Amino acid sequence: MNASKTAEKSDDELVKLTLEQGSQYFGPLVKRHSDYLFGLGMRLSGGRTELAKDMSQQAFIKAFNYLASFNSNHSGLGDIKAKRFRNWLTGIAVNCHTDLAKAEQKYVAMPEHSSNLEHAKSRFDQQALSDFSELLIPLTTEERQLITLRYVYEYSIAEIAGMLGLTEGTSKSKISRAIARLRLNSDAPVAE
Amino acid sequence: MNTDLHNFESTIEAEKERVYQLEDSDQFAFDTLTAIQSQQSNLFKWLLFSLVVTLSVAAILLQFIFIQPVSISAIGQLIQEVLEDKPHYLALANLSLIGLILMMKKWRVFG
Repeated sequence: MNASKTAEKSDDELVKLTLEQGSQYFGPLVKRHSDYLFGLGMRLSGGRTELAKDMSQQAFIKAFNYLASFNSNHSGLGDIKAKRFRNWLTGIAVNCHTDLAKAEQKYVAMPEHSSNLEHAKSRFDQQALSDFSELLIPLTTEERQLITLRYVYEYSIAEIAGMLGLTEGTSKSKISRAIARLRLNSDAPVAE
Repeated sequence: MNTDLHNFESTIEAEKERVYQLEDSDQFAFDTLTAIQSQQSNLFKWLLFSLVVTLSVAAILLQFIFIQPVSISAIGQLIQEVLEDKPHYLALANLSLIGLILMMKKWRVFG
């Protein structure tokens, strides 16, 4: 396998080669998208490196296991061919993040007489929070995911719906609810 | 730290500018591919293990069906009969049992 030639291939070509010839062609895909997934993980997890790494790795492993379904299921992942694999991978990564967040909630007991907000803050106190991470603290896991995808990564509502397996209407209303929740936690207006 | 939501847009803009990079992306890629490959080999191991367990259980059942009532002489006689009539069944059954024991030992099934 010629590494430089392989690196030049498109995502779709590498997916096809992986399906036909094995996991050696999946390596360039991992290298190409690992920083992107890690960044997504950092944003969704409030800057926790290990969680972001776990999420990225699980997403790649799941993507490899379900690679055949990517080839036959391009609908709802956006019109730009080059972005399809990344969009598909993003959907998988977000699901992995949901699972990791659920698993974490199981083992982290909610302190008595504290609000969700206080609880959430206490979980992040040890981390150097970015303004963005702190902004999203009042939100649920799903709302954090939706706000991150919509506003930081600027995915369209249709793309987000395709990634998360929601309808466009549901995605839109959930994003609106998240914005409303952010408004509730501040007197100042939030752009929609 | 910024909690004022009138800064929502500027916070989002600042976050867009922020770049996250894995410290060692080559190592990450290597670990990920290794995990994928070991997952594949684990699947093969478990398939093989399941096959051997199934064969062994079937073998034990077969031997109990053939060897009744259970007495030393009857067992001896029936083993002889089975060896004469269907030697390959008994051989397969016992090889499976030996295989199962070896696999359990190698993969430390019991610690």
